[in-house]
Amino acid sequence: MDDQELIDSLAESVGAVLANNFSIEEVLKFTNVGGELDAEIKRRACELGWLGIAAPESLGGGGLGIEALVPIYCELGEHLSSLPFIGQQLCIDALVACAFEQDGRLAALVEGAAWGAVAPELSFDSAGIGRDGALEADDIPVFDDDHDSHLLLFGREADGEPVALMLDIRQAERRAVAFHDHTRRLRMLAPGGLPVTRECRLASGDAAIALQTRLGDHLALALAADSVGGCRAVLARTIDYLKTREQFGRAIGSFQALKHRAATMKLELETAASLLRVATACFGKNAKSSALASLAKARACDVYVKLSGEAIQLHGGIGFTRECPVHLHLKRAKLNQALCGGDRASIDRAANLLVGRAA
Amino acid sequence: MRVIDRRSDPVAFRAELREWLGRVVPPCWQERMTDASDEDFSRFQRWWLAELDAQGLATAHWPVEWGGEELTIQEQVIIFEELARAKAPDLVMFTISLNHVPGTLAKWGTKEQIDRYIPGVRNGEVWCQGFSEPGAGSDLASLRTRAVRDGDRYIVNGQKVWSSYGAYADYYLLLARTDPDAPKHKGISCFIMDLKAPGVEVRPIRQMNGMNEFCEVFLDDVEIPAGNLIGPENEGWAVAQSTLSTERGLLIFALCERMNILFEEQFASPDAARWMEDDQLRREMMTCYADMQAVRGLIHSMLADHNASEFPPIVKILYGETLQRFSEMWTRIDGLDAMVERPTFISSGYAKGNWMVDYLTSWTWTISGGSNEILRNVIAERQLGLPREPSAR
Repeated sequence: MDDQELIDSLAESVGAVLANNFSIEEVLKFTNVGGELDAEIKRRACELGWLGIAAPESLGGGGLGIEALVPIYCELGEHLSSLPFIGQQLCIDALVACAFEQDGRLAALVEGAAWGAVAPELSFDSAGIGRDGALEADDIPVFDDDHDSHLLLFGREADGEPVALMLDIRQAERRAVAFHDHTRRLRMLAPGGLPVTRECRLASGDAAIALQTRLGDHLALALAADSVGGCRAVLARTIDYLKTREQFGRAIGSFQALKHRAATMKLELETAASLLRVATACFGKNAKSSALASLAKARACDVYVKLSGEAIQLHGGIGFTRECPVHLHLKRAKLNQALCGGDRASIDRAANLLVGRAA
Repeated sequence: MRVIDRRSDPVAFRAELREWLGRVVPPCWQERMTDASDEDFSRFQRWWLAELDAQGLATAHWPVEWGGEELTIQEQVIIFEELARAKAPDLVMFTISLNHVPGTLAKWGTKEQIDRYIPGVRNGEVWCQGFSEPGAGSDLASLRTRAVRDGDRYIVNGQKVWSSYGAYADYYLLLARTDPDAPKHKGISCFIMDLKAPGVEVRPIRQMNGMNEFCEVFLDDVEIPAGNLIGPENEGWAVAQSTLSTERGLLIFALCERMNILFEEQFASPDAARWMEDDQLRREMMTCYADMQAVRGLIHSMLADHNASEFPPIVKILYGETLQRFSEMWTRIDGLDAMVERPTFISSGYAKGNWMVDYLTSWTWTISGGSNEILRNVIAERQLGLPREPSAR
């Protein structure tokens, strides 16, 4: 089996587990009634070895790269999964990139004995380290479910030097914040005051800047993939409805005006998916590949918002109810769009990278 | 002296209205209504109806013989402009009672029906509309709820949906099929139905914007006295057209005025830098502003000339789409902060600055009351004279 076949079969098996055990109908029940769905998916993800796909083989990982993760991010988005996979993978990526391969934290993350969260802005201005060695930071929204042990965060040393940190957040205060997106657990984490020890520092100076770029690209691709997956689900559901809903004695999908709108949705999805593939293929190479990652993120989120909105409209009244899952997509799409500084920040990052200007 | 008694002098009328609203609108009613219980919401709506009624304002658009004032459109415009300016509560629970019921009965109601039901509206009886069904949305005429004549009554069975404020309502404007063998538009009748009658079950629908003012209504052998038939039997389609045609115009005007005020506030706000200093947002904001002014202009033309019958579908499409774009843009201006859920209060779907909720709620405008797709067909086929869909029946 070559790598591509392996990657395809991995994504397929993830998709099958999600479809069989964590279907959108289950997610809908979970968001409307509650339950243990998010704990259950974490357990399964550990059990099935999803967490280590991109980790070194010496640690029992799959030794694959971002091209293996992206299809899984897509599957998780397509099934509106609550699994905090993105934070976990960014933490693993950071430790591997900084050659912390012998670090116990990496092994724990790969096994699922520890869970990692990431501050979605990835900015050096998010945090500082005081003279007393304690972290100074505002509260940070993270995908986190109270059991997370590590937070990946960028900041500055007391002298202004950029630094990449991985903090032990088991003792950090966190409060639940109700976001419109109910498919994922977001919490406000208060990391201020946490001690910043030597082992919290993954990289400093230029190495920290390089890591920030790498993880910025990785996060952008992850959110783009989540959105592309969501687009696939929303389009499939809409097509289904257009085929089965009848008015005026015929399937509403037989009206040319609606058919064309469905076709436009397909075009937009394929554009976003293509951009994602292009950006994934050149991940980590240069400024242009970083620009493409940002553009893929901006486009995929915009398309996800647009397609979810169209899906609600094409479903008519039923699309406006909580029992129809389309609104879950719209809310997830809007949150994806707002992350990484929002739609305009991603596009501006790309322009600055391509023209060679400092952001 | 009531506020309405100043109407002969528009300037004095407006001033009196403004002064009265300044006095009577509770300063923090929006906070009070946020996440209010059903009882509090209903009590507050009734209080506000009574206040407006005491000043002759609630039913000022009604004919004199019904206790109204037969206000001119221009006079009603003044009222709605001032209500918007004062950020007064809107009488969402009474929209159908105050507008659609009198609009329908004025044209089709018997004297008995008018005498029996119109005074109740002034006293706060709530009506809602029972037109759509799960299988009859855009294709309303395909509705299947059956009303069978049995001596001096009809027996009704079926299921209705999207009845706004159904959980608070006393009476129902019902469309039901009375002749299943006639062509679909010709076998429908319109009824007044008591929603408290045996066999009626009203279930609120949980909506994606966190509200539940739309209801499903299940009808199981519900009895309606034959005297509650509105208009002739099997002429319900024509009756429904008069009900639906009261829907636009001033109601949408009021919402537009509220949106206009929101813009004015944004222009004056120290927070304006957030969109003013971003090239893209500044231009989007101005595009929305221009759209909104165009809609206002169209509404003014529509109100000035009742024969300009091509405006209503245009106005409804443009208002809904402008509201959707405007609120969506603001979710991007506020970014992550807009993604945090904040409680809100029920209103008739104007922007309130709780942007994500406003954005979600905007679909009530693009989907209900004739979806934008159906209205575009109306414009294309009835106004532009394009041929009908090949096999649409």
